[in-house]
Amino acid sequence: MNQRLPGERLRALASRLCSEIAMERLIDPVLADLQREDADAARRGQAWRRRSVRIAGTLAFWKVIGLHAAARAPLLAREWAAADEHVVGRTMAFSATFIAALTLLFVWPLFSSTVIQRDALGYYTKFSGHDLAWLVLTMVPQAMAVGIPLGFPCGVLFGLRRRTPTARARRNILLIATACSALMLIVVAWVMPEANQVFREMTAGHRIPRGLNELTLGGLWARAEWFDFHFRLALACATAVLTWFACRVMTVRRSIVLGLAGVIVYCWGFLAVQFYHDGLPAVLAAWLPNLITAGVTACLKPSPRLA
Amino acid sequence: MPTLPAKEALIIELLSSSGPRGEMYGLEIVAASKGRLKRGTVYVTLGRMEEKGLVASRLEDAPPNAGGLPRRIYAPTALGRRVHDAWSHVARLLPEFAR
Repeated sequence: MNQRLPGERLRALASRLCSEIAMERLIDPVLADLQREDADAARRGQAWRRRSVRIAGTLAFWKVIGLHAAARAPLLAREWAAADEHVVGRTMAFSATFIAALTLLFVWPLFSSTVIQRDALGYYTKFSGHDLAWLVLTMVPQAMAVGIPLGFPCGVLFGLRRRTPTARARRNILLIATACSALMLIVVAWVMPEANQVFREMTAGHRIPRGLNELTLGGLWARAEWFDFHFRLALACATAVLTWFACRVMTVRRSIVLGLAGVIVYCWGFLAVQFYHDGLPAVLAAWLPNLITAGVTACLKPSPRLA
Repeated sequence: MPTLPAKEALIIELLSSSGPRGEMYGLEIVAASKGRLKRGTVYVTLGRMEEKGLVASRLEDAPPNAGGLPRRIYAPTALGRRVHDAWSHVARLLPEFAR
């Protein structure tokens, strides 16, 4: 019977992940040691030694993979960002700038209205430096919940300006947007409610019962607040949906104005359903802006000029 | 001046003291280091040293009826020995600098 040698599956897996040189210099030597030690133990009839050799060899293999990946990551990230005429890197740079600017923009009004006071002598605050730092930190998740869904697609619109994004670049941008949406889910589901509550209690100076915005997703579910529950989920998905829209606009129309108009209409739509959703089923109302945007994106036809 | 990290210096030292040919394979180096090198990191360090030209490697001549992959055997290059000698000299003169 043709018996499989230890490490053969690991080698097959590594060959999909690593370059030929890495296989030759890193992976094969580790697995060669594992196979030789295992063969020696087998020849001597040391069953326990064989087991420990296989465990140690497998751990060494994964350690090598981890160290190699860590060493290669910066280079791969640079290559990845530089591919397709730096489209992805440029888009990420624009998106990061927009997200930072919008987050600051949303933090400032809250900060200035609740933390800073004014009297005849000028501006003052009743908080210590430590408390101020905490307050700003607790405002960031709330601002990010709006800053990321709006900033990311705006960055895409400007990043793809005067570029013809390849299918791979578009796929990479959408992949990052989806990762952002996953991060947003964590923010709006758990981080933002906790941060809001800390902020309210710090500014009030005493304990306050939680409002709807201070409930986690589990809390909203438990209270059967279906609109707010789905609204949070829809907000988390907004980054991916709007980025898809922005990518599509810049691919088939190449019009920043149209893209920005779409993002602004989407914002208004989101605000509108938040305040005027009576009469609509909660789930439909919460997801309506995303559904409409996705529908419009899917129906966008190339302009005759570009077709 | 190029630096020689402690692990790389140790590997050249072990290879140089291993006999007339100065050749060892990875697990031998790990065993000879008496716990200062681990089997998960030794090949990454050796790979880096090979890129720098401090060590050279070849595949062993597989013994008859030995299945599996051939082991890779390492030896210090002339450059590796020179860098190690220079670095040891600096370490003796300026221990704080070489640490």
